[in-house]
Amino acid sequence: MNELDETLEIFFSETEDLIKTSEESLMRLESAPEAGPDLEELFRAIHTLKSGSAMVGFDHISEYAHIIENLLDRLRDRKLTITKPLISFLLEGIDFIRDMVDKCAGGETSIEPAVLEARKAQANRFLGMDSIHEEDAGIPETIADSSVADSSVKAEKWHYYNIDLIFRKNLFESGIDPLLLLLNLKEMGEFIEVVSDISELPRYEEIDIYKLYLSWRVILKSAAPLQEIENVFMFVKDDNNIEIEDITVRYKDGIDLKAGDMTIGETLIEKKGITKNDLEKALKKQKKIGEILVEEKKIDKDALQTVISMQKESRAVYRKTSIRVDVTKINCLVNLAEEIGVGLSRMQNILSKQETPDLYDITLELENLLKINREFQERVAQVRMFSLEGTFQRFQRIARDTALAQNKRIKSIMTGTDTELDKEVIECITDPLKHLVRNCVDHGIEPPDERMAKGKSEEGIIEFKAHQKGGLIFVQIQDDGKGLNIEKIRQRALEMRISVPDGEIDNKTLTNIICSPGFSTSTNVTKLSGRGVGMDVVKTEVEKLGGSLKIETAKDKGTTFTLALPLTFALTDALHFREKDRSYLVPLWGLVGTDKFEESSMRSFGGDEKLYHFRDKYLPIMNLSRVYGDEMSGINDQKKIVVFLNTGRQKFGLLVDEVIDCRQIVVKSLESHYQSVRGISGATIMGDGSVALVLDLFGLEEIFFNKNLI
Amino acid sequence: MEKHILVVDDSPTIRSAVVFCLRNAGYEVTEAKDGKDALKKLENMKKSPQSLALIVTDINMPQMDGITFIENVKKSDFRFLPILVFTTESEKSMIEKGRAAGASGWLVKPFQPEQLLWAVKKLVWA
Repeated sequence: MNELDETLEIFFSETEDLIKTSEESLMRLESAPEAGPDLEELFRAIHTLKSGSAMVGFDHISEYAHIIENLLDRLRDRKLTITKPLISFLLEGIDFIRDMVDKCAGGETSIEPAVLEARKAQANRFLGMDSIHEEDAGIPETIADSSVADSSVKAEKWHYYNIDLIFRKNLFESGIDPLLLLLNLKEMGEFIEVVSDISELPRYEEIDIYKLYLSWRVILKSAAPLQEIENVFMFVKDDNNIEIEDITVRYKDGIDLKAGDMTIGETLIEKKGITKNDLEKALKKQKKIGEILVEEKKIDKDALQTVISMQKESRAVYRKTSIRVDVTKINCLVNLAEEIGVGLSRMQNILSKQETPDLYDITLELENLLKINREFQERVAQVRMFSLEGTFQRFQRIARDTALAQNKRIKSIMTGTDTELDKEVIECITDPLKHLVRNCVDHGIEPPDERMAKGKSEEGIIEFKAHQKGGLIFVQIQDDGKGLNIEKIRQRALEMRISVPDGEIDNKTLTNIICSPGFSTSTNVTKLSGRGVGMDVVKTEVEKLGGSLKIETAKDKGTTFTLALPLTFALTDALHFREKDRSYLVPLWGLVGTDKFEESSMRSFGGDEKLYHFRDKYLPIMNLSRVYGDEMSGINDQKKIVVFLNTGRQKFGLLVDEVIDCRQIVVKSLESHYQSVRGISGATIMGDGSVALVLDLFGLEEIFFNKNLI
Repeated sequence: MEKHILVVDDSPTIRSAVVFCLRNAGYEVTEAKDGKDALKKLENMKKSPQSLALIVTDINMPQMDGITFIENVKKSDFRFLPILVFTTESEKSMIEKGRAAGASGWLVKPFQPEQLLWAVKKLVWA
């Protein structure tokens, strides 16, 4: 990845945050519409976004952000009042920015001027609302503004100009001294850079002292407007080649950011006084690598095209594959890597010093290394963990938009936003959950008058909750709306020939019905939900991740969707045991304890039900053969160990032959190699090359107790 | 040594105003009332052409107009001397003519003292 890509990546990731911040502050502004810290935060975010996008050359984004910034500035000065339509416009504006940023990430780095113009016109309509204040737009900020605003204004004051001075050769004849002009120019501000082009200079013997051979390129930092800079060259600009360009937006802190966008050749022309002619001459000698290869018959044209499009694609997706990681996490990894290095060299020392190295020393060192390595692996896994905050904020936004479109009023509450989930898991669930959020507002929350009639608050409440329990993350979306219409669901299910119990439908059955492929009770597909993304998609997505979905609903109380998701796909600690010549692993988070099997501790309660006395409780114990559909072949005393597990809902014992050890494993999905097996979440390859099956506690629970999970 | 400026204008009012302004700003000034007079003054300065820093001249003058004067200067030892011409709003085309003849800059009458000094500064080393 080259530096430009890195800069872009930083830009994209920063922008994502800024957009998020903007949305948050806007949402808060909406509930408390007055100039204050929220507005300041929003302003800052947009301001940063503006300069950032200009820095990376996305001028259209910068331009648009500038318009938004102007609007916000008016709000800060209380020259505009915060209204609902304005907030909506700003939110749309932020969407528009996000859209542009996304397009840029995909390689589309410009926009139809007409589109931008239309947006500008929209913004101007808001600005135009108080044209009385228009004339004092140029007056500097008053002291009342925050210090941040002040500094931003001061920063704005400086212009950077790129000035190209190419004079005619006989300039001296008109009595003009270019040096004098340069000095005049210098009085306007500060020379950041002066490049003198000497390419026209002839050999010494051929120099005519009355001729001017030099030209210049100056970067000037100045507070003066363009007009004043132009005036310096008043006498010469008409019959000389003088070009003055205000490059403030792309020139920051001494770096001409355009350089990143330019080819080396272009930069050389600008910076090092190489002429365009020189460059063109040089370029003519050079061919594109693809063309050369085609010419030499190494590849054909089609292959070249394929590769070129691959390159384009990969450039477009790099944003998706990058993650932003807390520096402390990285530092931790660096430290651990160093420790491993130290450990390894100590090991090397031991081995090289002695003729016959002490096995004890080696073992000790090895253990130390394994310990560090283990921590290292854990930390690496953590790098993939992200908080749900951003996701929830997007949901809030969706909820808000949905509500607004339907004239409903809602209040959204987020809890447990710092709960962390594997990035991949977050990405997989975001889209299905968006659908749930829309559903909640669309179908769940009632219009204000209906809510009043029911004795509820006018504002519907939608909650986004997350918490961790055991090795699972629970994500909930809850509304206090009218609840699911059981009768309608029943009717629809019957139409679709889904079997429905006659009496009360329990939550598990309900979940199954709603999540049947193609199930929808929505009679008219509204603009916002009911787009054909059914609950089945939600359920499938969640199950693909090894999680589960539960729906609970109560008439006029609301509906709760609960997702139970695995913390991560990556490394897991597991207990390794053997049963009937097979190796198994069970995630350590579900382990309660182990006990030596004693016939006397076991009680039978008719049939196959067996309870085992463990830590003052009687827990059901099971045999793994059930997973394979065998009938439980009775429990005999050949079994030596009981492994007690806890899914969070259910504790149970598993009879096994032998517990081997604890280890860290990487679970590979069985599905991709074989097929999905209930009770088995995957397989892993052991140190000796053999394959061990990883048990899925929830699957086991389902098999043993015939229960839906959560 | 003070910079020496030759001021050529047929209007005494303007001439004196310009002279006053330039002297005030620390320049040494020689006056001439038209092109012909100016060429004579230049002839006298031939011995030390380095001392002259600028010629300021009007265009419309009796005897010899500004353009002809400039053309003459360009043929003399003073040909590299900067020349500032005065024009009026109505004769803007003179800017082009002046430039073609070899003038360095121009000033549109009426002008403020600061404008004059600003223009001079562009042509004369401080």
